[in-house]
Amino acid sequence: MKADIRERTRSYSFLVTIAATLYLGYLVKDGTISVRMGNCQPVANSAWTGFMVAVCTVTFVGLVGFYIVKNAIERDRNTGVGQILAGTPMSTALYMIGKLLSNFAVLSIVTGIMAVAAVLLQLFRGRDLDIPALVLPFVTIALPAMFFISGTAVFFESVKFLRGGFGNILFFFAYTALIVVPMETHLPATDVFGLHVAMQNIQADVRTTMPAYDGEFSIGGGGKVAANPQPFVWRGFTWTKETLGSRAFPIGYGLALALIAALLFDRFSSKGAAAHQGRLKKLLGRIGGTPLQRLPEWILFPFEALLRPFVSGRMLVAELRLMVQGLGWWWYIVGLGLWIASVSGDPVTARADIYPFVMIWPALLWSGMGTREKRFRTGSILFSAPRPLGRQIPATWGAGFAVALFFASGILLRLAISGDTAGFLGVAAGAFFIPSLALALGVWSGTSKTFEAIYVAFWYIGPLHHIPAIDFLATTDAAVSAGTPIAFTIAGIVLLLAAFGGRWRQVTAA
Amino acid sequence: MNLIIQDVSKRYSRDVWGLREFSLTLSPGVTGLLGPNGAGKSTLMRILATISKPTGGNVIWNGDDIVRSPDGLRRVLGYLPQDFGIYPNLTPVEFLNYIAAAKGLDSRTARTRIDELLLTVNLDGERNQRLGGFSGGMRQRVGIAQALLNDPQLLIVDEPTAGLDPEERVRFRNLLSDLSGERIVILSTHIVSDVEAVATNIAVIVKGQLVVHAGPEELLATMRGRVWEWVVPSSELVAVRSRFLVSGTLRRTEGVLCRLISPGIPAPGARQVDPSLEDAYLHLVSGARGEGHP
Repeated sequence: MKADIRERTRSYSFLVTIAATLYLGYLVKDGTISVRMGNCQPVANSAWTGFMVAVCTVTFVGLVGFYIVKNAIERDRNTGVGQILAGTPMSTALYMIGKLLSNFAVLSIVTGIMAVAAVLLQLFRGRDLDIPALVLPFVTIALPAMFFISGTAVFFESVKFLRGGFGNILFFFAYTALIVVPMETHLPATDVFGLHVAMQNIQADVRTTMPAYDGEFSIGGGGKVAANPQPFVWRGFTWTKETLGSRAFPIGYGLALALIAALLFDRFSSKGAAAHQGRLKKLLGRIGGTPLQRLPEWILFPFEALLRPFVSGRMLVAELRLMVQGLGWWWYIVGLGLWIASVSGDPVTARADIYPFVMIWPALLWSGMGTREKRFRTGSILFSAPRPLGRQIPATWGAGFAVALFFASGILLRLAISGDTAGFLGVAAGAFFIPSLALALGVWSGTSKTFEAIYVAFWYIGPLHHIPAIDFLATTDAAVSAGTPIAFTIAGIVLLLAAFGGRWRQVTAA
Repeated sequence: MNLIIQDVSKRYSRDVWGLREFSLTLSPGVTGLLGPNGAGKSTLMRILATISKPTGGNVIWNGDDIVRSPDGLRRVLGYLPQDFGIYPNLTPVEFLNYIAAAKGLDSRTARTRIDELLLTVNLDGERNQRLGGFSGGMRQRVGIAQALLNDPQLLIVDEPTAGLDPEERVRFRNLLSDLSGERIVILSTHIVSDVEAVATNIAVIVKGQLVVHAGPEELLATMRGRVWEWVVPSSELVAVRSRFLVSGTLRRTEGVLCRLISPGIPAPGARQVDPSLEDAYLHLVSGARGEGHP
């Protein structure tokens, strides 16, 4: 487990997560991220700083950390270590608990770094330093949440249909639900991130000192400053048996998920492998019957290969084929259904409410762009082919753009017929932006998870909730009026250049 | 047609070298690159395949420096890496079509060539099956086929027989012999019998440095009169191993028949035998490592 943790904490994605989390800590110091509670102005003492940084850690690492640690079993599968472990007497439950603890150790390191950062933050501010008060929120709020995320990652890796991109996208929605549901239901059993219990605790303290407090409580960036701010000194959590006990829920859930995962896990064997053995046996029988002979000279004709200098239609088709490889018939049926829905009914409703769903459906096709060479270890073959930049990258991007254009074509057609040029260009800009984002993130991160997480987050905030500044699909005229398509076209160009740069680095920097 | 490797070095950090001032000139024929694991064979192969850059020295292909202008070589290069993958949901035909498109072959040429290659590597019957269900040996044959797609003038094959069964291994050796006429073939391996069967010249690499580059006959000649067979009691085997370089052992009822290398007769009763390339290779590697055998 030690070696496993060492390898994982040396990864690029782990360092990026640490950097991003530390940046969030800086935003807390800066006051950019704050809690709004009526006209109450919390004093940044140790308890409050610890709470704020712990909450940022939970909300950010709770999401990103899942994607970081959701590769523990995958790595054993890919490296073949899993096959060796499967042959040992180690029980599946023990293996899963080991993976759970390994995930938890990685996320605990991030949490620990944030706790140290919070201590330093308090020191730099020149404020009081009460280490127990500062660290307690990390122990009571953040660590149980990290345990839950660790178990969830193990569970997702063990269930076949949750293992890939679908699971990555599903988790985003599960994460959103896990934040919203406890606030609505007030049930401690649903509060895995501990945000609700923390909020209730603080609200109770505010009410004691400020009876007029109306219960407003929101964490976020910016916002209006209260007209008549009143300082509020928070001394830290008042834990009762019930509130502290509620933090056992995420620990129990994490453990339960890992144990359920043990029941569902295929122990690195599958029906596919059995079928393969059958085919192989048949095949070897046939090869065994082939008489051993020297190959006739004529089989390989010498020829002067006439090579096309740049990207060809054939390369584009080949990339498209690669992109849709392995998709079931049901994928095409649902995709077609969504496209038909986008050309039916009221045009405004179709664009605002149906089009976002049309453009989330092919997310898993785009997420593979730029990552396949690493994932399938074909890089050394492809990068030693002539013009790896001029031929392959434009074809990969072109295939992604073709998919985007196909799914957007219903809405584009309707906008063209209605003569809405601005809307047409806005929607087309979205189709340009998506493959550029996918390719750049794929090439630079080497994993499809980055695009899956970022795209879904963007999609959820922008197109689905029609926030004009982030609505890259231009689902409303407000987004077009706000100039969003222009911004995303520029972003698309920058991302495309970044993709070229990243691939150039891969091809030349070894 | 020639490939000149001039003082090529690959330095990973201050004290870690993959290659150190490695020089070699190659002309048409099969060059067997032999060396123990970690000797730098794959590092050299990756540099020659233009996917890694040397930290020193030059590689010249027909007068062009491949670091400055790699595309000239890439057009005529066939490369089978030691560790490569396939796309599991594609069939061999689809995969080879994809690689052919990446190499810039037109569709007509690619179609004909893929048909020829599938016959050559004995996968014609499986042309429409998904690669995900293929065994390691079958995947290796797909790898061999992709390396030959553009009828390469420089063919680099890194540990090509790994995973192949004995029959396919013989087929592949024959294929390399057939191909070697007007092209440069570099066969990197640590399996001496593969090199023995097809190589027209042999380069031995140890610790990133070239130890010898010679024809198989020249290498054998250096070992003439130095290889012995000697039956020793089992209890003395450890002592014999410490005194001599033992290239093979065989259990017998009267003890262990040792095949060993010694400049003179190792003991009364020892019998001089014809040297093999394996003897020569082990002797060279042992000498390069400074292991102190006679």
